[in-house]
Amino acid sequence: MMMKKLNIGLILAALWLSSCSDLLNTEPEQNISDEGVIVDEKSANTALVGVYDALQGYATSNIIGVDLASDNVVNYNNQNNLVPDLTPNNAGGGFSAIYKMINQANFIIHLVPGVQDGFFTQEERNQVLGEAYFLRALGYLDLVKTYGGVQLVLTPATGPDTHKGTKRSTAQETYAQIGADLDQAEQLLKETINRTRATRFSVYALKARYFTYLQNWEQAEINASKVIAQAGFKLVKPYSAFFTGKTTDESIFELVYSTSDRNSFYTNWLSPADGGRHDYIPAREFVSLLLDPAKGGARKSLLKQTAEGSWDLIQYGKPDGSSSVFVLRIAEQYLIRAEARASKATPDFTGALADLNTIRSRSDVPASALTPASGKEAINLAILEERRLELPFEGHRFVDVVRTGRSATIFGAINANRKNPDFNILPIPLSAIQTDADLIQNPGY
Amino acid sequence: MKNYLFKSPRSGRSGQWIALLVMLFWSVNSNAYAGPGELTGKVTDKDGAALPGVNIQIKGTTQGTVTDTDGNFHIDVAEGQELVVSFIGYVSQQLRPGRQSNLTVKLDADQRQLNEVVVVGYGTQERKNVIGSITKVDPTDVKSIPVGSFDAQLQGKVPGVQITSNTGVPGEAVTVRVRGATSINGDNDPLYVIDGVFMNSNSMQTTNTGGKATSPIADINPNDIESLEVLKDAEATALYGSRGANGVILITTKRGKYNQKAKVSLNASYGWAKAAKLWDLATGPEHAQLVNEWWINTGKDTPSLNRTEANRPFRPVSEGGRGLPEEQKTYDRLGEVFQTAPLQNYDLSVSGGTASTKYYIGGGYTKQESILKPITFNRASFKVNLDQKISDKVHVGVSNSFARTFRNQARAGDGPAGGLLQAALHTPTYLSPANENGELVGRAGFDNVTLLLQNYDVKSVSLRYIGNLYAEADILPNLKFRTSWGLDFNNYDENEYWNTFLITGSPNGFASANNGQATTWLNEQTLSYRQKLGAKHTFGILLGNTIQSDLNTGTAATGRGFANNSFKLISSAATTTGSSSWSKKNLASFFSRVDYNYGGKYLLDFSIRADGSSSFGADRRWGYFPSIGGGWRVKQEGFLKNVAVISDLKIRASYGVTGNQNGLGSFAALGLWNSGSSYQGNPGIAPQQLANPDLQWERTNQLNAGADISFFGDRLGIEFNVYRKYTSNGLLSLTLPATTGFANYRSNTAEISNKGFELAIRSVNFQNSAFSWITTFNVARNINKIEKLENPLEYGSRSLILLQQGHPLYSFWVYKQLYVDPQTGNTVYEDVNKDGKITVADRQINGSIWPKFFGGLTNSVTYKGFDLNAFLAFSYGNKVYNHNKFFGESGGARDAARVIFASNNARWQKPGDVTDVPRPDGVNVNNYRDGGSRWLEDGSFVRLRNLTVGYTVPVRHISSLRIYATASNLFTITKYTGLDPESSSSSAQNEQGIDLGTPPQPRSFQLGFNLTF
Repeated sequence: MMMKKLNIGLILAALWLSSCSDLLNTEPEQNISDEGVIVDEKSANTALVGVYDALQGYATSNIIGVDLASDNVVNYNNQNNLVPDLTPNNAGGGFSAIYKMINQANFIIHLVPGVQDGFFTQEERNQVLGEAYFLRALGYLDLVKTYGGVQLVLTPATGPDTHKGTKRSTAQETYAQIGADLDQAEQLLKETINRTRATRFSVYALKARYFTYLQNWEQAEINASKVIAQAGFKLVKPYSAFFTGKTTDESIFELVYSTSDRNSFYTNWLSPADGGRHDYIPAREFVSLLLDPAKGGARKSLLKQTAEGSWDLIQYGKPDGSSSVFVLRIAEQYLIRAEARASKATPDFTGALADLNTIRSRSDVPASALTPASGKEAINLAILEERRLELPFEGHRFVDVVRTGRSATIFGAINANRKNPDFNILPIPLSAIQTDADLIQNPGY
Repeated sequence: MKNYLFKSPRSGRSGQWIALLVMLFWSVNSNAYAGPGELTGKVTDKDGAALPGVNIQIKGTTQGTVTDTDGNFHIDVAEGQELVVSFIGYVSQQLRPGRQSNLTVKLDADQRQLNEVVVVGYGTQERKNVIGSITKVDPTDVKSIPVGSFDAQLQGKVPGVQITSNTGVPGEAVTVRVRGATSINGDNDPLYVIDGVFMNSNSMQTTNTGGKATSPIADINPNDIESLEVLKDAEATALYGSRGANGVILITTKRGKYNQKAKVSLNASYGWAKAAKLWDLATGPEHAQLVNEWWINTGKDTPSLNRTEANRPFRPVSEGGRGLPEEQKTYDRLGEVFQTAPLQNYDLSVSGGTASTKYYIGGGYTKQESILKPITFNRASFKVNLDQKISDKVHVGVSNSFARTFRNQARAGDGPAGGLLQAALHTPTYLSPANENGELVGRAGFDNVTLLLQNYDVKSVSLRYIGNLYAEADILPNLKFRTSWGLDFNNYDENEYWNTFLITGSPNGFASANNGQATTWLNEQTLSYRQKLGAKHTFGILLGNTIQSDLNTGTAATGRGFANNSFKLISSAATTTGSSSWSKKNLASFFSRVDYNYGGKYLLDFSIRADGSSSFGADRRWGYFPSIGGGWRVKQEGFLKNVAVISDLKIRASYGVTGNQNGLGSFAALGLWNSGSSYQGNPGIAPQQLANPDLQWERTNQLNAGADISFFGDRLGIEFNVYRKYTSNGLLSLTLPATTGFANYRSNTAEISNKGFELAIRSVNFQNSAFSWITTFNVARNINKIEKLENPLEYGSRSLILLQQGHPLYSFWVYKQLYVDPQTGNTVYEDVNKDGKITVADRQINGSIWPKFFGGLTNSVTYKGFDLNAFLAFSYGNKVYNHNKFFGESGGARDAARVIFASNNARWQKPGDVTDVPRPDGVNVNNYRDGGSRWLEDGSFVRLRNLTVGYTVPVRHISSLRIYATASNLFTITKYTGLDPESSSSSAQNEQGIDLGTPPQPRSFQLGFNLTF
């Protein structure tokens, strides 16, 4: 009797043991494990959507990081200190979040060519890869303009030590990599109009910006012209239409959000009465320029006066979180071309002023008093001023002042510390330095 | 004497105190009386050793005497009178002496104490055979402390178990640490096992209450608990394998008895709770004065600011100012949010049994309002335990408990928006709650307190079932088989609605709802065999297995944009979002224990558990947790047998390995991609975590040595343990280089040690049929140290807490204020690196949350029908950061943005002033620097945790009626200048000891009765 019971017990135990290994393999339902994550056309596309999501993850922090280092924006609680003293402790700019996007783009660039899926045509692969190369280029361009040369990571991370030993590249090397990615993207993408995703036009527009940073004026003009020549891209009127509407003709690449995929940037800008936290406001001196009909013109519609009297930015002010971030818009291309025309070896001042006045007239500002005879210096100064008014809160001002060599005069006039050229790039966040032995802080911080 | 006992051990000279306590037994002396009918005699134990202090009473009278130090006595007895000879730890005797002069009474030792049954892992043991460090707690005398959960009631009751209440909100999570803390990113909570079911002790709350969390332990009605065992060393916990490293709390609920007629028990109480004190705030005029001083001081320091006497903020309204300081009014907000809170509790139970069935049925209802409006904790529960004999050899049974816990929750922790206590405490007192139009408005970024109280709508309901079904069979006389199935199911439903009057609800209202289910089921089988071989050898074998599965699911929704404040449901919101979550982990285990006992003298046991867990890395699927223990019952040796003073002596030692996998997360070892990263409504995926196939449990090795000794027939019992725990493979979330694209990586790279001692003393100071006085005392010390941590980790507001190798966990990281310069009024900080500047490099570790020692002292006295119980808990040497005061002592620099505490009035004003409060200057710089040590305070305390007086009323026809009055936290002796040295604004594990915006534990008073018939 007893033996029988024990036997049954043993059999049960054996059965149970064999089921044990199944028991101990639980698979998540919310996530998928990383083996075989990009295996077909569909999964490649969802991974690409993930890269755009990662761009959403850093876009506004990069904008505010560099805008706070400029003379356009101040912290609401520290308005006296117009140009903040940056320290690695409070460094912004989205350093880690940009690398998160780059890593996702790397997965696609690395895996998509090898995907075994007969229905995944070469054309479709090219589209996916082209967008990934474009986004990686954008990420590195945002890094290099903010922090200088950075560590170049071109393969996906599969473990904590995948990129161990990767030192910082120089700014030149970083730019070279961006150029290579942009060339790849240009080849792979088609000339279609899709204002919310990367196309060959987005590549032209980003190349125009890229060559402006490199002061390669011929290429800057050529690329800007390719975009301007496309009838699908137009300056919209009134000025405010580009941000009150959505994916207007103004946009070349607009990062869109919706009520279910919210852009919380409005909370940083609006006052508590409008549902925000009022972290930042446009700098007082700059507000007066925007309000000046002869300077800002219609661009004063970026601002709204609150009951307390302060002027708040409403470019990102849709309180349902559906405001877009404007990565590339046509107005910038006109100003790039103006600058390129004025600066190239054989300047075209007439063309430069024509582009400048196109921008001014859209905002009902009188045409510039300058003439081709005013000369390169004066025209370029006017273009810099116009860029400040036209693209004030999209992360351009800081890098424009720095790359034109005017930071000591412009920023230094407000905060003498800023005469030190070390402060022409932001510090790398302390937390990133502390966790990466290969990462050296920028000089002066 | 009584006075002396109430003088608590805060002096720290506990040794001296114990010595006096021991002397006390001897002071009870006989009152010899010689005369007619005199009887002399001697009382000894059964081996002939003299017993001093034995009580000898003439039956039916109050006359009596006590034996002297040699066991001798004299007493006057009349013919026919009977003597009762009684002594604690011995069986009483009644005898009718003849006319004899030298009577010798031999008393037999009462083995009850030693034969006490202790619940151990997967079984029970007699106290005398226990090798591990196990404390059995009778929860009766703390059960009326109004804190919601039984673990909070146990503070100070168990040596080596540190329980911190964090908040005065009933039913909120308390911190329970058994012999220190072993983990940084894993969990440090003990494992709770109720009637064999592994209970979920992680809060399911998702609503933001400012860092606070509800306690799932509060779903258990303390009245249903029969006994609690706390398992501390590896010998006791190794059978719980990868979940045993933080100690195990075994909860046994009440059951009926066979052959007992139905016993009905009713307990009801009603009472009130109130804050013992509130913060002392600067008045409106004082506030204004300090702001003006700050303005002028900073203007002098930095002339470019153009701050002068002429344009000071509080100047006459006619000059464009806010009015002179003396014109300011003072508005009280604290009085509005604090209340005298009613408490009520009712328990009704019936238990009993027939020859083959026994049952316990209990129901309870408790409602405790917090002293902070509108917080309420409300629990209704019932319990059914049933056991049925099927035959002589087989019996089956069930345990069921069901509870519904309702909470009205307010944000009693950190956070300005919706933070009730912060709004009341941190809004400057001079600011009117209404604007010039008479409308109520929030000030300084906080909500308006009145509007908050009127519109608060944050509620949760927890439905909890914990149950278990078992069958037990005696296969052979010595071989027992048991199988059981257990379930812990918790449905947690929470809803919040913020209307447009509140910051969180602006501009058009916000609502969120969350519904979560946590389900744990487990099945276990054990086979136990016990055999005696020959006269001296006894051995036992236990074999068992368990399978366990934990499933957590949740659905959440939010809504924004409501038509008006009458619409509150998410379905009526303009914009809604939804999400859901799912996770599962499985655990399969085998375990065994072998014990051997030689002649009742030498005890040896060995146990091992193998745990296979789905959350471990693929290469580390199984973990093995062995332990070995030995005991020597020295009293059983010949040389001690005849020493009557020592009634028992046992020496024990154990060593073993336990693990901790809590906090590991269900899929922590897998490389994962996450969905939900969408763009333009298209679904996207993104990498979420890197795989770590080597990820495993934390491993804690523990060595324990102890002794149990009792004297004078168990009148004085002492238990002492020393231990050393070393945890390796500690879970650590490593921050990864940015270039990886991942934020962090779960690794097993931290190492932490804990070592310490525990001492528990129980003394029967006096006992006879009419009067008894029992004292218990415990004290423990734990030394915690981070042995290995590559990079220091900062936690808490303003990085107040630093985890750094070589220091204890939760050390405070501060700028040490040396003094305030009497000439300049500026704070002088210690310049650690002597570079002439105060920079972050000068921040230093200065104390931690860990006490140097802690424990409790209980005195219970009964006299005839009266009973009195006084229970003190104490902690010495722990630090608290008074973060409320940091904000409130900003010297005017925060101007209209924060309240100023009255303590700031003691600031330096002119050369020669000697004070530790510097002159007002900028915020977060120099004098009022973030992380200044001025607000790091000594959190030592002695608290009269509970005082109960009861009277058992003699009534016919009922078995007992006791009425009682009980008070908790009647006094707290502490140097801490905040309200409660135990306050902590966050229940996050690594952010303890920061007191911000938390209500204190209240003083409470309750009246009640227990009726049994």
